[in-house]
Formats: sequence, structure tokens, C-alpha cells
Amino acid sequence: MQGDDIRRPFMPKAELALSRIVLGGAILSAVLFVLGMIPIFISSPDIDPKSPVSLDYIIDSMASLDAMGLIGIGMIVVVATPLVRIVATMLLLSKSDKRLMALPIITLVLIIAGFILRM
Amino acid sequence: MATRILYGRQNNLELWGFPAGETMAVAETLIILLLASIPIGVVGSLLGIGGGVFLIPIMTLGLGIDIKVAAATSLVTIIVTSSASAPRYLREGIVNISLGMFLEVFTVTGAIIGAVLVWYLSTSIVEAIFAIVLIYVAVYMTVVMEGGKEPHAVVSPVQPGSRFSGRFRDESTGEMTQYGVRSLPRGAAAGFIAGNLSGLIGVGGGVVKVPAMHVWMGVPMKAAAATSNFMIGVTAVASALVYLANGLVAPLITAAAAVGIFIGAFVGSRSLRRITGRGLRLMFSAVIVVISVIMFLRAGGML
Repeated sequence: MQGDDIRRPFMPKAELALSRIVLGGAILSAVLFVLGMIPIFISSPDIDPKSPVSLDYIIDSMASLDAMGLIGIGMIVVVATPLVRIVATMLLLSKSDKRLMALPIITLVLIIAGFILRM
Repeated sequence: MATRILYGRQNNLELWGFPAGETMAVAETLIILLLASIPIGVVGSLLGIGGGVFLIPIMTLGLGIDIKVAAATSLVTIIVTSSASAPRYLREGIVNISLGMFLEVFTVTGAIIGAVLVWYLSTSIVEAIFAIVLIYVAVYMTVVMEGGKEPHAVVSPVQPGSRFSGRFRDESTGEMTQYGVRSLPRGAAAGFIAGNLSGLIGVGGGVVKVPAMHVWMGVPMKAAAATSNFMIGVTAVASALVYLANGLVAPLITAAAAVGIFIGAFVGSRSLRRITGRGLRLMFSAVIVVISVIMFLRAGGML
């Protein structure tokens, strides 16, 4: 049977686990963004929302857990979600296909290197 | 006083780099962007393209936001929408994860190079590149996807032992589809270009990846679209991190746009699956061409 020739490094349960990780990240970040924006909508502070800020400022604000802190955490959750997905893929592949595992490792190294080199 | 309550201490405003005294109130800007992003999310979902082609012009032409900041915002929204829509395809088993991981190596490389290039390019050049990509998207929507028909390709036969072959059950027909994958180097090149565009101008790059996977690599259209969606989040995060490191992300407008597009994409994905009518596609293509012309004029300093 032709279908038997197809290697499936990921079982349906693994695909379900990956789907939960990415959906959870999307929902969590959206909730954090909404919670952060509500006080800004209510009080409308005199600031320019169009101005970009540095990563240091985003990290600094997270500790305060105020409106901007929640948005900062939401931002980190957004960028962390695909990275967690890559790590989860690596872990799943470590049990089923070690050769294929090289691909997410290379991807993760590239992303981290790109980020570090620009900092 | 309000800012003191919101940000803990007055000095935080300076820390965040927010100049005070803007003519448009922050809440007003955020509400406009959030409300504008909802239909963008719906339309993007219905048309089967990312919302970046509409979101970026609204931010740059409508709200006067620099295109590099708009691109960074668009990338974050792409991660959110990809994360929200990919699970459905994963659960249905349509995503070719192995192929997606292979192509991600090249899309990520292209995305990082694109995001680094942005730092050195002038705003007008980035706007001109965006305008050219818009023309391509309009052509793709009217000519390639004319009448809702996807580009046709011969599905590759399954190669025994291949890690990239796949199969899935087509929910519309109930039939099991099996396929192999060919032309990996060409697919990798297309992935690099798609990633590069994503990093440069903040679009998802699906309009490059999906036809390349389908026509060149022999992947069925549904699997190609689902696999592209699976990859987009990782590609976008590679360039989004470079934008973050370069201090090009504006958190407030990003949050507003992300929430709006998330709501819109959620609504869009649960209503009609895709817009298949030629008239609607032509209408949106015409809108994109108009935006492209405006972008060209702006890039040339005529607007």
C-alpha cells in the first residue's frame, strides 16, 4: 500500500500538542494586550503611541505590571510562542527522528544569532 | 496624573521615548487602528492572504506612521494570526511539518537578512519595494487565483522513505490525499525570497511560498497553504526580533493592531472559508493597485 511508504515523524498527538502551544500563546498575548489597553482607553494619557521604543524599555516596563507592562509581557509572549513551538518540535523529534531534528536546531540558532548580532 | 497612574512614575514616559503633546489622543489613535484592523483581519482571512498589505498602508498613509515601524507592527500581528489559525490545520493533519521545518531554515535566513537591510535602507526605498510587492499581490489575486481557481500543478508521487512526503484527509471530499515533494532546492530559494520580503516590508510571504510549494514542489494546494501558515509565525519572529533589537517596535499600536486583526481573522475564518467570487477579488486587487500607486508617489516624494 502506497500510504505505508510515508514516514510520519509526528504522530497526531504531537500535532495536537503543537497546536495547543501556538493557540495558547496567541490567546494569552491577545488577552494581555486587551488588559493593557483598557486603562489607556479610559484615561487617554498624553503620549505618542506611534513612537517606537527600545527592547530595554519594554523589559523594564514588564516589572511594573502596569498598563504598559502588560503590553510588554504580551509582546514577549507573542515572540516566544513560535520559539516554544520550535523547541517542542525538537523535543518531539528527539524521540522519533534524530536526523530531522537538525532542522529546528538550525532554525533556532539562526533566529538567536540574528537577534544577538543586532543587539 | 493619568500617566503617573498608568506608568507608575512620570519619568517612565521619557524612558519609553514617548514625546508628549501629540495632537491626536492616544486612545483615539488606538481605537481607530483597532477598529480598522478588524475588517483587515476579516478580508485577509477571506482572501487567503495576510493582512499586512492592507494594514501597512493604513498605518503609513492614514496614521502617518513610519513604514519601518508599520512593518514591525505587521510582523507581530502576523505571528498572532498565524498562531491563531495554524492549530486548526495541525489538528486536521494538513500541515506538512517536516517540509515546513526544512523551508523555515531558508525563510528565517531571508527574514533576518531582510530585517537587517531595512536598517540601512531609506524609508522611500522600503515604500517603493512595498509598492512593487503590492502590484505582485494584485496580479496573484486576479490572474493566478482567477475565479477562485488555484494554480494547477501535478501532485508529486510519494517517494518511498522520504521524510517530506505527506498525506491528509480532504474534509470537503472525504478522500485521503497522498503526495511526494520534488524540487527542494527551488522551494528553498522561494522560501528565502519569501522570508526576505517578510523581513523587509513586514508581509507574511505566503503569496510567494504557496504557489512555489504547489507548482514547483508538487504539494497539494491545501497542504501548501496550511504549511505556509505554519511557517509564517517562525519566519515573522526571526525578523520581528531584529526589529525589536533595533528599537523599531511601537508597543501600543502593535497591541491595538494585533487585537483587531486577531478578532477579524477569528470572525473571517469562521464565516466563509474563502472569497471565490472573481468580482470581489478584482475589487480588492483594484484597491491594492491604488494603494501601490499612492505608495510609489510617496516614495518618489510626490505625496
